Amino acid sequence: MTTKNLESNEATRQGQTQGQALMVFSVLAPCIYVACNLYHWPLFTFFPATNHLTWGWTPMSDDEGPAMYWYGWLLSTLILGVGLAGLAGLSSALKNPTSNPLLSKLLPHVLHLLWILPLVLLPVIVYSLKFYWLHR
Amino acid sequence: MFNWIHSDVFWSILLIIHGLLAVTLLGAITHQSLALFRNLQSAPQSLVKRFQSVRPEVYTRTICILWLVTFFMGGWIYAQYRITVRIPLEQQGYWWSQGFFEIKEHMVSIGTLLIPGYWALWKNLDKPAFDLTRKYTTALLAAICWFSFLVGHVLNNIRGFGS
Repeated sequence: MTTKNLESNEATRQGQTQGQALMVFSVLAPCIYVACNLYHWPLFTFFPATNHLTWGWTPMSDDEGPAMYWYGWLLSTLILGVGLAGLAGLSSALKNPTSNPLLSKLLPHVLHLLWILPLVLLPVIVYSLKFYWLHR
Repeated sequence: MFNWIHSDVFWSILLIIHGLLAVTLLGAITHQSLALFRNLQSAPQSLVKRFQSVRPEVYTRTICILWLVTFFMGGWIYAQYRITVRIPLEQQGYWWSQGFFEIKEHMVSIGTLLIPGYWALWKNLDKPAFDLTRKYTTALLAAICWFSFLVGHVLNNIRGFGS
């Protein structure tokens, strides 16, 4: 095998690993995002009226005006998601799934979680917003 | 900057750009998802069939870029919305409208988190095992895009910047 072929194979293998890590990220991240929302895990709280940032979850106050957690939830999700997907990408099983017959069989089925999980999370999100639906 | 242009005009311009980007994204992702659900056996004759008869993979990069740019524009506007639109909406008792906006916020965030996986699925066109996942993930992103567009549009009708 020539050096060029070896380099090409290595590039293909790295490309596959990168793609699989991205898919793992997209399976995990929506769950992490909803967990951050439900359990109040924003990395920071932003007060748009005063342009003030505080670490973690801070309640709204009369001095600071309304609090925004969405930016903080996204950053928490990004850090946790990239970390977990990175770890999964490093695992030898995901690096070369064809070497493991069970994993290579299961992977396409597991990937269905990409579109199933957001649909499962939707009722959870709607329920978490019950304050808006029940407010009179 | 606000010496030259009124704050409401500035945010309205940004909102219009956000809306136009969303329309472009809507067109691209609808085209791609309908093309995935076409029946390859019949020749395109009707308008819908012609609409579907495109190569869906050519839209992937454009959709990823448009989704991210539209998302970041929305994120920029969101802080201003929180002060100048949401507070009056709550004072006027539009709780369901606000609730739907919250669903839009969460679904768009989840859609953005799906973009890396979506991109990877479209980069692996040679793997038939991914075909169904690719099809349904694309359809889900299209549904999120349509829902978010309609909610944003209705909410802007209820109360836009500068109302």
